[in-house]
Amino acid sequence: MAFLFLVVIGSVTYITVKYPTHLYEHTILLPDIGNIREHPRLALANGTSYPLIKNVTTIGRTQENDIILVDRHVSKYHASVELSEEEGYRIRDISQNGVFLNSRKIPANQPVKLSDGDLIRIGYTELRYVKKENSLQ
Amino acid sequence: MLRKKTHCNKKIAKTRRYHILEVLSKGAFGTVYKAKDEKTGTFVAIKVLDSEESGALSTAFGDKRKKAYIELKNHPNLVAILDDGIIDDIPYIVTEFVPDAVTLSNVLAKLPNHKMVLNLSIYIILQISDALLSLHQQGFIHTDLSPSNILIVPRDAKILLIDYTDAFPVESVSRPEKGTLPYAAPEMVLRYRIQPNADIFSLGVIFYQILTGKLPFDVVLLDYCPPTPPHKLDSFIPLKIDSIILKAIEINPDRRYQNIHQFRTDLTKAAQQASLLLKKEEAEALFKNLQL
Repeated sequence: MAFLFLVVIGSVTYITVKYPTHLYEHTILLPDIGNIREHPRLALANGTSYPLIKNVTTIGRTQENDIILVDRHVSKYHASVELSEEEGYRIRDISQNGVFLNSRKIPANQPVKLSDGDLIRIGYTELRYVKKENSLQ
Repeated sequence: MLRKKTHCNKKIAKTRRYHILEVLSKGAFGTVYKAKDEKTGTFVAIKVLDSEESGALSTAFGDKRKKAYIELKNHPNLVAILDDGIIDDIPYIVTEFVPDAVTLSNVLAKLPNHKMVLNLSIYIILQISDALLSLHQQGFIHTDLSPSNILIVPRDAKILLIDYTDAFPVESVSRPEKGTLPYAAPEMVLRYRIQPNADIFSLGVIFYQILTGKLPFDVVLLDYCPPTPPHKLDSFIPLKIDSIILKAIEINPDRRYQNIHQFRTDLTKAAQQASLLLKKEEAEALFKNLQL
């Protein structure tokens, strides 16, 4: 017996969910970004968040990046968030336009340690570094 | 439902080459029919997208992708693609028809506790990793590996990977449009860039599932909490196999197996040491006992 649910909301990813019981399966549509919890993440003001699951997560305007920011003030390859064993997550500016951390420009191509709640500005886009779920409430 | 079936039948009948016989399976995005190829006299399987979905997904079957899979080499663990086309904007794909085949998901559904014996699980996973090795070597990522996309022919212990028409070129910068949870790698769900080891994640989840009868991650919460190690669910699972599975289902793609070759080598070695490597005849006998 199969149950099918389809909803169309803007640009979406088609995901089929299967349960181990094998008794039924259904299709749901996820928004562009999943809701992987409990991971340090970068969050946009509109609620979209980007869990940092890779050793290096790249940010930029083009499709080659992990996090694609639709903002013409963002460089093609703008910044990367890197995982370091000693310091946790660090941000690196690889652009000509600069990356601002809590309103201060960070030195080019040098990783800077991120702390919970830090505000990162890339182009005209602001991203909040959230280390733990609900830590800012 | 019947109306839709007739609708698709009529479309395919327009080709005047394929005579639709019966519905083999119905998935989320289309229907697979058994048909007779009037030109060659052989049976074939035809996958047709549902008309409602074809608009949204026709790009996935578009010219660029079409060329991609048509160039793929034949492999004993890949179902051969014979023909494809578009009728009234609805794409269809004709593949080799595999008689007496059952999907792994149907096999699991029939088994007690939905799990399989250790040596047979390893046999299936190694065969699928062979198919993946071939896809990866040719520069493609399957992106939709799940138990429904694995065919088993119990009679001759043949394991086949199907539905690789959506295989994704490694160098592509766009993102796959669909995936199956919880088999889809987290980076794919997040729509980050993917590497071939996204398939290793899917294979690892399948391995975990067929060994333990459980899924490693909660599909609804999608929290990707560290999974319970398989040997804690079944003490018969050797620790070496356990660590291979856990490395395959690492959430962080950089900590996961980097290539299927390494996964395959490690699994073969661990299976050999534990005398769990099956020959084809032994696998045939075990499948026979399962009475599928």
